[in-house]
Amino acid sequence: MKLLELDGVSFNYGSQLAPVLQELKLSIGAGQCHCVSGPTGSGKSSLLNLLAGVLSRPHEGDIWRHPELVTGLVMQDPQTQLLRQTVGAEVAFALENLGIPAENMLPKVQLALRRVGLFLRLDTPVSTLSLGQKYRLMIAAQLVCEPHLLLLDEPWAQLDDHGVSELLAVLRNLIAEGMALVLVEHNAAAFAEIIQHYWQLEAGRLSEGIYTVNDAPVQDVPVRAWGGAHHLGKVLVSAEAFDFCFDGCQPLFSCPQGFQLHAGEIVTLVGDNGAGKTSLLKSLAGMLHLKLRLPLKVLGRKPKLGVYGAELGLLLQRPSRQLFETNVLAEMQFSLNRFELPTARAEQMLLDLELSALAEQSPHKLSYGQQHLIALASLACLQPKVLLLDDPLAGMDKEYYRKVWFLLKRLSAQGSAILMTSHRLVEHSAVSRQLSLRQGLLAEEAIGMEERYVG
Amino acid sequence: MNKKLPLSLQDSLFIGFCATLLVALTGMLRLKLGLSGHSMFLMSFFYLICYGVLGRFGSMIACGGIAGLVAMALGVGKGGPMILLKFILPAIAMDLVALLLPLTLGLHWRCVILGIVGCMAWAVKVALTNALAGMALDVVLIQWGASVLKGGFFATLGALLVPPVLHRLKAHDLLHRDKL
Repeated sequence: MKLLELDGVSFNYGSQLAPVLQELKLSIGAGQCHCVSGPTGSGKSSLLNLLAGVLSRPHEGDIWRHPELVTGLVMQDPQTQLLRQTVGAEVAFALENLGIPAENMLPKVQLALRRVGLFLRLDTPVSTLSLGQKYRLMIAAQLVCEPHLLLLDEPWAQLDDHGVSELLAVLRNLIAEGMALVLVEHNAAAFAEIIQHYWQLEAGRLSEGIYTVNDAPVQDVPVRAWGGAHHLGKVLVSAEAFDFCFDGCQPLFSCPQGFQLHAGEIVTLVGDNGAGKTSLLKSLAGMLHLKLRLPLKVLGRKPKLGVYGAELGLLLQRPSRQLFETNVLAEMQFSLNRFELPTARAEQMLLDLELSALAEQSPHKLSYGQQHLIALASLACLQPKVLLLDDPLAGMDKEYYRKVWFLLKRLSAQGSAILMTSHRLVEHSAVSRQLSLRQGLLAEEAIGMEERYVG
Repeated sequence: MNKKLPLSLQDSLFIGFCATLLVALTGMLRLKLGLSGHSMFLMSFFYLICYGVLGRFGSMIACGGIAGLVAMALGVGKGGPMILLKFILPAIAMDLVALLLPLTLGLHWRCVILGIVGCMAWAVKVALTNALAGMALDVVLIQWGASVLKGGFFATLGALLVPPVLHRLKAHDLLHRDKL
């Protein structure tokens, strides 16, 4: 049964702007699973919003929907879609808005939670769930309306491997029940066992196939240091042995050996969702105040918000939280102005990253991956001595990966100590060391150091 | 694509939000500045925000009408039933003059002109109250002129705040108009 059909659909965010989607043709039937891939910022999320019917802007072309079609949309950033404090309230939110009597809600909510494999008390606080559980909760909150079509925006980037396998099991069951799925995903291979139709969206055009960029070894742009000082090896961040615990809670993880970050090295911090990576970064930046002070030293001082100025940069997991100006160039120049640094660095940075076309665009309208890169570039302009990055590679295609690594390598050559978190192993020759945060233990993990330094 | 969209629920709610916030702020702040015309600051700001966001005739009148009715019902401000005139007269004048202003004129200038026009209409209510109280016509006119001067200052301040707010809303993709 056909659920939805696009015929010659074009869409843009303003008549003076380039079209985001052009002459799209797509037909989705019950029980089908479609995957759309494409470069960062190509309009994949806009396509999902269009399919979900939540775009209030006008479009050209015809969109046919089955008269009884109900769609569910799970957005890229889980934090923006979860509204309520408890699991039960979150799933019941849509029902409340539809005016369903309270006594009829309970069985629907319980069924939706069972379908996604969440066997939790309804009063479980949402904040205690792992990201994988939160993602399944978001799906449950959509399933409660009994949608025929479920739209998922880049689940792989947000979830760790365990979360992905949990999600796969849920999606397999939903397809078997006749639900149609549309996934937007850079890493289509992770969901290959359920995907039936592959699409690629590039330059606004949708065609069959999987989007791939040139996988040939990329010729890295020569790294040019602005400062060029010889400061490799100096300890910029140090931590003695500690147990990390929130006030009044059991320890989240312990670090029996302590760790150090040296100037000029890129260290990854790898751990599952909810392991405590973000909390550690916030502690290092002085953003987290715990009663039990951690034995941390950053740039020779105990971490405190505001004392480091341009010497420390923190990239948050949600880039939209640190973007506030009305255009990209102003965004990048803001901190340069604040710390009285040359504003020309911003233009040069955009030029180096081949992002000059974004200079006049609003950072709030960019895709998740583009926002991540712009937020990172804004920090990189300051050439901080210590750079803390919370999952900087989320939502990026290979081309953007290359840009991020170009930036990180350049900063590293300038003597910045970089600590970046990820929920997957980061395989890149520029990574000096890896810290592993697994099963409540933070420790250094060998990643074949010789191989790293060869060449 | 260029077809004028009907007034959406979102637009209607926005007008209601502006009107309610205008009355709530006026009622809460109750500024005893001893300066006549300071109420024009909030009024010109919220009316012009409606003008900039919706960009259609009647948006300011709707905002002023709702604000006047809410203020009258809640007893905010001085003047009893005349409070309705205080809110709606500037809105009508601003909406009518907005029709005449060329769109090629810069947004800042349009906002300032509309703010001053609104202030002149607001001063009519002051003059009407004075006339009803039995004031001589020449004194009524002098008082009207003084009100326009004082209110015009605050109206201009409020109007100048509008363009940056609109640009920020547009940057956050909350305005779906190509040009402000």
